[in-house]
Amino acid sequence: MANEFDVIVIGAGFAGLAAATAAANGGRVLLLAEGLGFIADLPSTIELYGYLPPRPGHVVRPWDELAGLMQYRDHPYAKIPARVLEQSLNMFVEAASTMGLAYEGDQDQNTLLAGPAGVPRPAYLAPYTMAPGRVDDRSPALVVGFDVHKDFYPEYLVANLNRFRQISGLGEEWRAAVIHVPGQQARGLNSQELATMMQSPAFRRHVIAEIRERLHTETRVGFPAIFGLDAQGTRQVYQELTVGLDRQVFEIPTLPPSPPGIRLAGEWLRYLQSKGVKVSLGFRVMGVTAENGRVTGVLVNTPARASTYRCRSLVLATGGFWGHGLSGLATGEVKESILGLPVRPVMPPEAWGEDRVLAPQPFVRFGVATNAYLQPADEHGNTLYENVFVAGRLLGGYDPYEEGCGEGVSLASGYYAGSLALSAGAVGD
Amino acid sequence: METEVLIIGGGATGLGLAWDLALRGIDTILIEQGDFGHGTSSRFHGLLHSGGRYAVKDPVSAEECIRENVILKRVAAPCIEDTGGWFVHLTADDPDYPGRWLTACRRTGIPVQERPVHELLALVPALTPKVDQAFHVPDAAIDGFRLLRALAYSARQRGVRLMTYTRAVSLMQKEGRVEGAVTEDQRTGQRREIRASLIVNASGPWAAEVAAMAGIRIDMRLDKGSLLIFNHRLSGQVINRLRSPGDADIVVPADTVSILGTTSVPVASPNNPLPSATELLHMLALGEELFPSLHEYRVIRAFAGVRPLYDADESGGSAGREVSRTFSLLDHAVRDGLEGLVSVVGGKLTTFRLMAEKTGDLVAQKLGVTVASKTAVTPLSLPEPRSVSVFMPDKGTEDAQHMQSEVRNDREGRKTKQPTGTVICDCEAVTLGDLHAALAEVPDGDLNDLRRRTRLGMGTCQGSFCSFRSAAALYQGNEFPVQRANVMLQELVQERWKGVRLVLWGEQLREAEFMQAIYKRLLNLARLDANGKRI
Repeated sequence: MANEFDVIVIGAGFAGLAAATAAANGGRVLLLAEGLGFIADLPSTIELYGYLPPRPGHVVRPWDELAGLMQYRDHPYAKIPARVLEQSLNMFVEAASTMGLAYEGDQDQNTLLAGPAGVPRPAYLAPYTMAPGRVDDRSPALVVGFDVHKDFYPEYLVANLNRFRQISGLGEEWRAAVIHVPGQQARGLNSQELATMMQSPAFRRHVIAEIRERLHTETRVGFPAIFGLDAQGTRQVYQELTVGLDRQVFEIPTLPPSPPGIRLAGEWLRYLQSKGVKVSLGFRVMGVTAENGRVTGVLVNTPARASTYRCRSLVLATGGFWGHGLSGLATGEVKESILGLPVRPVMPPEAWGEDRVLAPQPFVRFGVATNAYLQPADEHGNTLYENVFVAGRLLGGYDPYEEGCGEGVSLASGYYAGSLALSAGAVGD
Repeated sequence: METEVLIIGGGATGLGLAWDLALRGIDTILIEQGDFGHGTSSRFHGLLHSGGRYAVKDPVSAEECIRENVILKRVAAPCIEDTGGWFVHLTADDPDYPGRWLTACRRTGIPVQERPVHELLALVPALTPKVDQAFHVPDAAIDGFRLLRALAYSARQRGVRLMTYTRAVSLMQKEGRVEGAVTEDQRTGQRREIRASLIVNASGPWAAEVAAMAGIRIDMRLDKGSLLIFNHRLSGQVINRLRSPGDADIVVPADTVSILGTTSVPVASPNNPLPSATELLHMLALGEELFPSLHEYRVIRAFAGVRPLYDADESGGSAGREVSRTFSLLDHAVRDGLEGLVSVVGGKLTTFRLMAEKTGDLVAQKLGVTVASKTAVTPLSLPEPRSVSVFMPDKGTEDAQHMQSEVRNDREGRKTKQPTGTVICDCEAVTLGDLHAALAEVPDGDLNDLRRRTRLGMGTCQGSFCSFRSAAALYQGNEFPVQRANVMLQELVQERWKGVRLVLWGEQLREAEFMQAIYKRLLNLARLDANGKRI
């Protein structure tokens, strides 16, 4: 039947995409999502474990810390066997490489990469366009920006980065150069618009000529992350800049929209389709049908009439508040959006936030409680739906932004949930 | 320093007085403890009253309001959106009130027109169908920030010296006469003496504290009003609920957003008023009686202001909405036998000009100046924008670009163009040129000072994007250390969070998680080197 699937995955962020990838290994899979969520907004680097607040400084060897983390029952990593975590990363690296977006790491260590404000941030894996931009080695770089680009400011970035390099005793300073973009309306452009401009050979020639004039002895040139919106276009720009400047070039993240994120999401969806996954984006899930503690189908608000897709098992990877996986009411009630699953912890609404915006915020830890197999569970630990598996930010119990582990948790829990969903469907036969 | 008149307080009253005295040619210095309007003048719902709200209970105030409404629409036009307003009667509300109200409006000279309910519902479809009577009045929306900016700019053009972040720490007295004030710069701690023939205490809710420095007691009734900001215009016109004034019965459109208010809660201190969760839920519930789908709209922040109410008979019996909204001019020479000090207390934003005029009359009389007030006939001006953010078809792209760029030296001394038309704040369409223009008015200003002058960060995203953009772009175009840009950035995101944190539900809770991702995951702001040590 056209509308019957072994596994339906709801959500197309890192968790949903990883779940669909895992389940596609032998199952008929449908990926449903209303939008792309954070993946199109954020840098697309993989953070596995970056910080252990309140400990100052960043985590250098995340695997050493993960062993300790497994003892915290509420943290999603505690529910995922170490071997599954490793498999999920291998799956991602292999899939990304097939998509033409090779990811690189420094063996098992975190690498420090610059963010848009020039503050370094530890990444475990980075796309080949970003990995050469590590800030914790001695080789200096020229960071280039564009005068009409409202989401990237190289002088500010370099000023902050050089203070870090100075404090860390890392030799030569980085430099900044702002390139004039002729013929542009001066309302300011975002990164997606510049990524589109970079696809023009004439514009690239202009950029290369301007930069050659500004280069000193730097061996590397950093750009805002605007090389392209797909793998092929990005490869072309990357190679042409490398040859034209005779330097190692690299991308640095910008404010959203994020071309590297858009690139990864787009290629990953195409990859899934090539594996036989049916992808349906842009429609809101209205609800599910369920019998005897099992979800049997998903109701989607498609044009003209609602469609029902039947499934053997379901992966919920709908995200946190930003992804619309969770919603909170003024009255203090927090709900999971599709099944109405209970959300933990329960606390009065005044306690959801902290007064300092940069302090850890309780609401980012809210999520659906699950048992050890990522199945939603009630407060006594009873499984609520035996063929539903929860992945990614919706799990709660951790702070992806403070701990620097958002993509790691999403990949691992998504991969795990996808695999479990596939075997749960098989058991149901 | 020396001057004829020293004004303490840079809200609408103080700045209005500075403008009034400037037009009379009286030498004036104004000091303000924070930025202009950091008190009540920026913490209200932005309503230019027609007077309708006060017609029944407080006719003096109502008459003042309608007179000033007409004058301000003329002289402060750039700060006012003349939306018009409605008083709507709901079927469940007191059926006798509209009759009494109409009589009172007629008596106080407020032009009221009863119109068919369907006409109103067509204009404001989100309104409850339970309206059974609708009256049109000349209410309007007034932007407090823009008004203060216009007053400050106009007064400064006429030679008034304005000092922000300057607090009076004591008043100098000699032989029954106030001779000046000792002031302190709130940023550097530097103290100085300002000698003046006359001091005017126009410090709003801080009036009692300032008077106390001269050993004088003023009984203020400080009253907190809380407000909610919604992410777009619920209505293009002001909506008042037609009943005895109560909580959450006014909705005012303000540029891209709407403000619902207010509450009335007595408070002891004028400092840092914050709405309580109870007040906000209470307002939402009442607001839903006017706009039934209100809970589906996104609330972007909440804030509170302190009304500087003053009970002229000082008998101490009344509080909150019972106290008249009219103002009092206290000549301490007559009232307390102390020369050289005048206090202006009570009142409301709509009547700030009248308060300034009356205070100006007393000041002029004391100084022997015979020039009459001109504020009712002299239009205020605002600084010219430094960027043109529209494309000029007759110029050609390169020309237009050139006209919209400032040439600057980068940090390596190379000439670089900085396009001033770049939109830094998408929600409120604030350009880099707008920020430069505001920075010229407050050379030491931080991003919050620029925010109050340009609406930077006041729209739906509450600074998620423009905090970073403005700090980085200003750093790139100006000569200041990077740590200063970092401090300004952290201060702006924190200031915006203050109001967002109070409304963490619905779509704003969603935005709050987005902010966490941007500020922490992407920008790593907690590790930004703001104090020279951390990274």
